[in-house]
Amino acid sequence: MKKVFGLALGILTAIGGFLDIGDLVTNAVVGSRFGLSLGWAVVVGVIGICIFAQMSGRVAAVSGRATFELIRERLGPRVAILNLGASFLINLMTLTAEVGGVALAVQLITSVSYLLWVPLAAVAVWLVIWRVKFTIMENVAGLVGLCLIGFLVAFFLLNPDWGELGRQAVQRVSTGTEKVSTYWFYAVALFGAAMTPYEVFFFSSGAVEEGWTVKDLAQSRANVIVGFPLGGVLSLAIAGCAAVVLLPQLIAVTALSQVMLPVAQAGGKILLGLIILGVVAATFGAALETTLSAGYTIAQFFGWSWGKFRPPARAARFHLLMIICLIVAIATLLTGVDPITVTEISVVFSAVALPLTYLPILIVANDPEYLGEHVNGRLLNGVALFYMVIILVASIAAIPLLIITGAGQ
Amino acid sequence: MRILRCTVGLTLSVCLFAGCSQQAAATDDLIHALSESHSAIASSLLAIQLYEQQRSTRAATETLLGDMAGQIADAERALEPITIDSPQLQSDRNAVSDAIHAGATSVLSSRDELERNGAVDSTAGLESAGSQVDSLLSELRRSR
Repeated sequence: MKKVFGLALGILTAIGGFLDIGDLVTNAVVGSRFGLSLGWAVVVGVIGICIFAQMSGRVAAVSGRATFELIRERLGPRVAILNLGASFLINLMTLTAEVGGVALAVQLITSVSYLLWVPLAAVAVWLVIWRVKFTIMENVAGLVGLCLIGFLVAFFLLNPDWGELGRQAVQRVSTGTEKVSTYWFYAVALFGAAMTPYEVFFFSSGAVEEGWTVKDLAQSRANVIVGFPLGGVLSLAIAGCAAVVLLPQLIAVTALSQVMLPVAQAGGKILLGLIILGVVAATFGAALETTLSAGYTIAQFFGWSWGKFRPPARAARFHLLMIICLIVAIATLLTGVDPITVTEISVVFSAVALPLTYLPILIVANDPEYLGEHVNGRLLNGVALFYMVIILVASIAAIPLLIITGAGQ
Repeated sequence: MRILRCTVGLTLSVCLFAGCSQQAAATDDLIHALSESHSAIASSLLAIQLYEQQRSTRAATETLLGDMAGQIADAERALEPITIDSPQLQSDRNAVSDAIHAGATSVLSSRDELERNGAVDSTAGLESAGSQVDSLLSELRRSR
């Protein structure tokens, strides 16, 4: 019974914790401009994150060490520093976007400017990391994040024209003014949003924090293979809501407040309240994960003492680093830069950094010295290599598309 | 002599082409600013409608109107750097600027009204600005 409960809890938190500000914004923007015609990019991204997240979870569970430690040891500091540099900068950008996302969501409840909530949101993130146990922190954020299922409810309540949505899913549609390059820019952005590097680092370091062993492999695999795709369904529901309500009125999403319009139309104040709560939980949970990931990556690379399972005094540099990252995020947001712009740019740069993140994981997951009999099978390696090609193409195309389209304008 | 004629012809063609493409780019910029304004006005109208139907909260509506006021102000600012090189373009830009300004004023006054009174009495100003933006948008798209 305890095992079943643990499994259900793991899957539910994986669903609730799957979405972050990048998924929320990018899916709504795409739904309002292209309908469901980019749904395939979400599907491709979700399959990709499932492959590599379960791989890094397995590496951590079998070796008892986090992915980044092993990457440095296996590939040497020169290669690992490339991985570290790219992952850390993207992670910092994502952290900034998540803290901004929390502040924007709280603004929707209070109508007080998000700029006033930014420092408070960051302090709350730090307090939770400092005081709250890892499992409680992860489970509460994931379970409250389940309120985002409200997007799926809203989508059905809107009574969509299924034929039209089916047509959108198989052919490229837009408001008539969108260029082909913009379509591909958002395909890369959706892919980057689904495969954000911090998710994998957090997943593997979290496995060490929770003391996973080989016995936990089945649960780890179930969390990823069931939880993440269901999270992907929520991403599609967000795009679907925007496609049904906003696209016909030629409303292009540029703010989080616009994402709420289809929800209010479908389910009124109750559903709106539920979704806003879900957005606060999802962005807050992702802010916790990105803050921890910032500490994990640097501490694991330099061999510092790390982890929430240690008292803060025994992992002082790890905690100090997270505080510095939060201060940088606050300072960036207080310049007045739009958190939505930061989000959109962070998901595209995520796509740029993907090969540096995922190739080392693939290499380590094939090393019998660390994984023994649990190394990747042939089929998994074949699929992972195919994904490496997609990742490489997305990574190469991301910056030119960003420039050509003026960041999707 | 023939080479000279060819060079002059080629130069004129390039200048003509560059002039046309510059004008087309300016028209595209105007269309983009109008599309942004259309989106902001339509969002504001939908938000107010949902609030009046008691399907949305005051805080969410106020936030949206504030966001849309910012978006439409950005669209208005985006008109400033557009290079004007013909009377037609000048007249188009003036019309676009007037329409966007009317939209910005309507969104801001709706937000102020909601903040002061807890309700928006009339959306006539927003609807009129929306129609003005939409008709200009269709006109410019046709002329492109």
